[in-house]
Amino acid sequence: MDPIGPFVHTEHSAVPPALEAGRDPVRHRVAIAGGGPVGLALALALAKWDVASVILEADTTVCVGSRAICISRRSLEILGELGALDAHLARGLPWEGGRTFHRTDEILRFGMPQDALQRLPPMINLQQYWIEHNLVEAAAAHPGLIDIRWGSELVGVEADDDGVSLTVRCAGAGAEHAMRADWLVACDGGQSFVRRSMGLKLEGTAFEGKYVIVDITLPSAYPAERRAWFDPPSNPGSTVLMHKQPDDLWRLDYQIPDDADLEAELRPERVGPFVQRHLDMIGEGHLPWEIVWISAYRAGAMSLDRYRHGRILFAGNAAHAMPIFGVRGLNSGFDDAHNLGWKLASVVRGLGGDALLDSYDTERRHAYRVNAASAIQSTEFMAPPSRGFSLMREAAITLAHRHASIAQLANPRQTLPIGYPDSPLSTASDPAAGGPAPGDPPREAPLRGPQGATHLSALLGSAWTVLAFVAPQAARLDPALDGLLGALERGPLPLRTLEVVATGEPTRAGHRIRAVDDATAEGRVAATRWGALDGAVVLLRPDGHVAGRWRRPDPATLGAALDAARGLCAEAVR
Amino acid sequence: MSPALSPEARDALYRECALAITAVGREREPLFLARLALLLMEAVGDEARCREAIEAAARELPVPSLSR
Repeated sequence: MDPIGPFVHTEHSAVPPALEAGRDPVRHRVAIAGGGPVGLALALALAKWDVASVILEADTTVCVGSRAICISRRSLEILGELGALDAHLARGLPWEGGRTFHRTDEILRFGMPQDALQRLPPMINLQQYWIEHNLVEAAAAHPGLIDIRWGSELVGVEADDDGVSLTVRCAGAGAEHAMRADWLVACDGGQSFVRRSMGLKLEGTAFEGKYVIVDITLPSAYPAERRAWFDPPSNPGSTVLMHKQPDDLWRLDYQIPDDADLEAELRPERVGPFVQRHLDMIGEGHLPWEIVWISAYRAGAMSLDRYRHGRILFAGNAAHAMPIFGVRGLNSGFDDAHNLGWKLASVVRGLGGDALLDSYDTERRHAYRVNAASAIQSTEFMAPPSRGFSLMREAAITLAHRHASIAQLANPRQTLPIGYPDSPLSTASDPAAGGPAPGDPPREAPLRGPQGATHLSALLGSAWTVLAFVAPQAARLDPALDGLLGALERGPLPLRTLEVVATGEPTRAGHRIRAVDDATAEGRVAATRWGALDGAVVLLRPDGHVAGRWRRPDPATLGAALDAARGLCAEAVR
Repeated sequence: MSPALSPEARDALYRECALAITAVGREREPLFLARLALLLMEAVGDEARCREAIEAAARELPVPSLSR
């Protein structure tokens, strides 16, 4: 593989750990199978809680092809928490929407949720090798907490009640070695070894459609957005997608007929003319271009029926497969890692109950179902699985340019943050007008913080947050609540209080931050977006999701909700 | 409920739909009917009533013997 643009694949040496009688003598807290984006994100999330992990990665470099290239705003928030945001923003291409064509007519222009008060773009495009590279760099900031073992392939797994015994084949050593960990998280992708070795299977909906993915270098100045063509005159009957990546790299996706020979279709002499005809159609056929990567995929929405098996947990593609449309593969993997990180860390450190790990399973399987429903809807439109879908799609596409509502059927339904309405960690709450309910992800708002202009999403992460909307005239919290929060802030649990005030000065003292709400013509932004009246208190989990919210909670209510969200007494609260 | 069609309007629309199906011809007939269904669903604007109509159209659907 020739280098593409400025990226250079660093070859990491496969060094086996110091062994004693063929064993790694260290009893590890957490072993992570797979050093892809999900495994790396999980290791970073654990490191934020001072929990050490060892990553077993079979390869000696980050991935070779561009693979997953779209990173959602929610994923960027997560990357921010993990210390990898700047590297992604510096190189990634932000975009906000796209357009869809029937033949050469534009039938839909769509936008992803965006407004001037956001910190982050709704999506950026960046090659997966850059994403992995950035995460490896971020991991280097945690020496002693993240041990990436390159060239180390997991070849044996055996779990018991108090840990997992692993067999590892290290490329740098002649023999296999054994190791032991308290927990194993399988982040080893679609072909997960852990999954197969346990005899587990993904179940769900598989689609017939076969797709070719091609990356080409193309010096095109066209901006980053998602473009889709149905039945383009250049390749009649086909559906083509096009995305811009950094370094003058462009991604084309197109479906090939079900009965086509996939291997033949992947040859450059087949792909090349297809691409040339497409570029000719969009007026860029005169530009010099070159194929750099060709791959294929089949769509399927499939999942394990449990993501927790005792001391083994599954995340990312090892746990579920998602159709590519709507970019839910990598992004749901980041969500998995983010959801699991604080829970596993809490259990390892004795800061939360074992029920937290069951809640990972409940919440992320719920997210899978939501993701799968959208992705299936998208896939059925992009690649109709039967005569009825073909006919209805053609009806919709041919009416879309005159009927805006019908055009929405062609909307790619890009990934959005997903709430956990039935989370076992949530506590009965007061209703909030328009604000996030228990289980919902956090809402963005600009704030004036102690270090100047900031955003709410930048102040959250890796700790519990009590978000308190303080009345201007009160200028301080209710004394009883204040006492509890003070004690919690000084306690063993990572917890901060974020007071949001309408007026006054931002301050920081210990784990207490006071930030000033942004007042616009429509009112106070944070209070409005959170549906919060003065005195309202929202308990946010370390992943930013709402655990509970109250108009004016007494300390006992807040304390009980915190215990429930820590998985300490989930049954009693439900 | 939206207002019911008058007998005169029903007769007229029946006839116009028949003429339109004939005019588009066999090849475009399915696409024409699918487009009509989509437009009518948007016009009805009521999920339950649209679903009822889909179910009613499929219920006891015979193999055509009068319109082959």
